[in-house]
Amino acid sequence: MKMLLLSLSIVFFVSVPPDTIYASSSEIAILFSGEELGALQPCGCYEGQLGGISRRDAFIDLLKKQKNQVFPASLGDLTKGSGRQDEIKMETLCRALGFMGYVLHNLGEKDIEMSPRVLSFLSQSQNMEFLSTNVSIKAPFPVKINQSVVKESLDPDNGVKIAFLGILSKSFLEHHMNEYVTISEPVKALKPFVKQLKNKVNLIVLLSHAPMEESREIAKSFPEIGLIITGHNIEEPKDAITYVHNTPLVSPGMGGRFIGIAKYGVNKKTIERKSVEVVPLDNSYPESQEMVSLLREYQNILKEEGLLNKTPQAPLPNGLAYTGSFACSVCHKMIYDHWYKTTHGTAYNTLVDDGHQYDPECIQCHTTGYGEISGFLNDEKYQNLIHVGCESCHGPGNKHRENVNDDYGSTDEATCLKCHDSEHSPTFQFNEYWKRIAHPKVPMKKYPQTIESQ
Amino acid sequence: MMRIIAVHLVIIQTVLVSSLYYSAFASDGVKDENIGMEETTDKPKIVFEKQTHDFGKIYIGEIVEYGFKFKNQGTSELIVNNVKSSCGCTAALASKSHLLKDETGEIKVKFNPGRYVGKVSKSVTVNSNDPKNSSVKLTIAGEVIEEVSVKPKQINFGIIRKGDSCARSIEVKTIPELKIDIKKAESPNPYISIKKEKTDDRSMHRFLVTLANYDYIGKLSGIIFVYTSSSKQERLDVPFYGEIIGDITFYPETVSFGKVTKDREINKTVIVNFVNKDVKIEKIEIDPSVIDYTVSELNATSKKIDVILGKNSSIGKITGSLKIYTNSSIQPIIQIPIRGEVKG
Repeated sequence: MKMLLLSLSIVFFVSVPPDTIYASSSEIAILFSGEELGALQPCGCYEGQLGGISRRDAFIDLLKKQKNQVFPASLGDLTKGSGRQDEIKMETLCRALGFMGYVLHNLGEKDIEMSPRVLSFLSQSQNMEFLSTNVSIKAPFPVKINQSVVKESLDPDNGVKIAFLGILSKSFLEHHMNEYVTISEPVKALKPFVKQLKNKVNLIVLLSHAPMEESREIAKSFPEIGLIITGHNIEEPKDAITYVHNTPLVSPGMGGRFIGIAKYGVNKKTIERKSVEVVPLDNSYPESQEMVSLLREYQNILKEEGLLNKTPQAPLPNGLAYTGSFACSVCHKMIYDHWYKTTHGTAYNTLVDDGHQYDPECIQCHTTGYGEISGFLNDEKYQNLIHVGCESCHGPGNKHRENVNDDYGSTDEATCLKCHDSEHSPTFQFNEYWKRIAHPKVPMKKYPQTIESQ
Repeated sequence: MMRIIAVHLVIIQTVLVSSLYYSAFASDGVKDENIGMEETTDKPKIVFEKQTHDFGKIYIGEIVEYGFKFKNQGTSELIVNNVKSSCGCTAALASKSHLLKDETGEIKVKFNPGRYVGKVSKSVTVNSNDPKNSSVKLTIAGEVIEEVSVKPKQINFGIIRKGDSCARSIEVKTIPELKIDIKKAESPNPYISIKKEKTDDRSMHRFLVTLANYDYIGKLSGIIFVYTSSSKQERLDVPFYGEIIGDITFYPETVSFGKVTKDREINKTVIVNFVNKDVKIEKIEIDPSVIDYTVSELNATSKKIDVILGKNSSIGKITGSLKIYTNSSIQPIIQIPIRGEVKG
C-alpha cells in the first residue's frame, strides 16, 4: 500500500508540468483589470496587439476550470469619453465584466463623467456592483454605488472574507465637476472603513484609482490593506510592481492589454499571499465565443443607431470641399490606377471584412474626410469617399479642380501621422511606408507642363 | 488487483523518471556546449556610449529622434537579435544587425508623443548575443508640451432640466514667447453661444460657453472649434456634451436584441426614473405581439421594465416599440424602438 501511495505521489508530481499548477483548491485568486479606455478588443490595425475582452474571458475561464475561486475586480475608467459610442462601450463592457463574474467596478474619473442616466441604468441592472469609498453621485435619480464590498470564499472549511474598498484621486479632476458628484479626501474616506473591516475580514483590497505616488502614501497610512491595485497611464505594468512594507502596489496597465492576478493560499481560515503578477493578454489565449458574440452585438448597435451620421462635422476653411478620388482620375489616371491597388486604395474593404464599417472610431482612417463637412459620412451616399483617397493626404480638392496649379497637393509626414499614430501603427517608418504608396512619376496628360508632385 | 495497479504505476513511474533523466542528460549536453563556449576567448561585447537620453521639451505634433551609438568591443561577431520598444509611440531600429570586432552601430529611437502631454520616459530593449549583457535597456525621456493648451479638454454640461440654461468656461493657453494668436472659437450648434472674456494674462484666453434655449429632451453633443495661428495646432477641438431631462428619464433609448437564435428567450431591461415625483405611468403598450414585458419597482423613483422576446418568435427581423404613456405634460408618451433579428 505504501508503495502504491509513493507511486501515485511520484506520478502526480512528474506528470503535471509546474506552470500549469495555477492553484490548488485551497487557493483563491484576485484578478484585476482597469483603464480599458474603451478598448474592447485589439482593433486589428497591426499584428501582435495585446488585450481584448475575448482573451480576458478565456483567461478567467481557464482559471475557473482549474477549480480556482476567482474574484475579478475592475480599477476604473472603462471608457475614454462620454459620447454615445462611449455609452454603448460602457454598457458592453459592464455586460462583459458581469458575464466574466466580476465582483465590482471601481469608479474612475472617466466613469463619473458618463451620463448619470447611463450610470443609473448600469448600477441597477447589471450583475457587477459599482464601488467607490469616496465618490457619491446624487443625481435626480439613483446611481447605486457601494462604499465597500465584502466577498466570502465558497470553501466551507477554509472560508475567508475579502473586503474591497475603492478610491478616486482628486488630482485627476482637472476641471469643473458636475454639481451632483461629490468626492471626498481618499484617506479620510478610507479611515472608518479600514478601522471597521480590519478585524472582520481576512484581507482588505484597495482599488486605488490614483497616481502611484498617492497610492504609496495611502499604503503607508493603512498597513492593514493587504493589496493595492493602482496606477494611472502605466503602459508597462510588469515593471511597475512595488511594495510598501509588505503591501504590493500593482497596476493592470492601460487599454485592457494585461490582466493582473494576486494568488493567495487559504489554510484554516487564514490567508497568505503567494504571488502577484501581471499577464499580457496575447494571442495565445483563445477567443471566447460569448465575447465574440457580444462584440458583434456592439457593432450591430453602432449600425442600428447610425452613429456614423451623428459625428459632428468640422467646417473646412476657405470654401474647400472634398470631391472624391474618382474626380482626380480624370487628369491623374495612372496615379489613380496605381493608388487603387495600394493599401490606401482598399482601406475601407478591410473594415467591411471585419464588420467594423459602421464604427466611427475606425472609419476615420479608412475613408476620406470623415468628421469634416463634405467628407465621408456613410456608405450610401458617399461611395466616392471610401478608402484613404487622394484628398486624405493632399487635402480637399474642389478648388484644385476649378483652378489647377502647383500649389495644391504637397503632403508630409505629419499628415501620415494623423492615422499612422502610435496606437494604430506603431511600426510606422515614414521612409519605408512612403515607398509602399509612392505614385508613379508620370507627366500629366491634360496639363503637360506640370509634372506630378508627390 | 492492487498489485496490478501498483505494477502499472511503477512502470509509468519508471518511464517518466527515465524521461526526466533523459532530459537532464540532454540539458547537460547543452550545458557542455556552453561550457565549451565559456572556455573559448572569442566573445562579442556590446558597449553603448550612453544608455539614456533626455530630449528636454518636445512640442506636441513633433517627432524626435536620437541615435544610441554602440560598439562591438568583443572578439567575435556581435549579432543584434532584436530591438523592442516599451510602447507603440517609440520606434527603434538598429543600423545593422551583424557587427564585427570593433565595428560601431546605432540604435535609432524615434519618439512620437501623439496626443500625450507631460513628462515621459520610454525604454527600448536591445537583445544581442553578448553572453554577459544579452539585454540592454535604453531610456529616452522628455517633457511633451503643447503650444496651445485648452482646459478642460471637453465640456460636460451635465444634467439640465428642460428650459434651463448652463454655462461653462474654457481656458486656452499659449506659450508667450511663441506669440500665437487665438483667432476664434465657434460651434455650428445653434444652441451654443461663445463669448470671449477679458483676462489680464495675454497668453491666456477665456471663453464662456453657454447652452440655452434647447427645446429637446435627450442627449446633446457637439464640438467647439478653436482656431489658432500655431502651425502644429491650427485647430483644437473641444467636444461638449450634456443631457436635457424632463419629468422622466429612461435607458436604453433602443431595445436591441441583436441577432438571436430561435427557441431562445431573451430578456432586455429598460430602467425608467421619475425626476418629477408626481408623474406616473398610466399605460404600457408593446409591439410586435411576440414580445412581452413585466414591470417591477426598483425603488421609490425607479421602475424596471423587462422586455422579453419569447421562444416562439418566428424567423425574421423584429421591429416594434415599447410605448409608455404617462400623466406628464411634457412627456406624455415615451416611445422606445425595439429591434432585432431571429435566426433559424
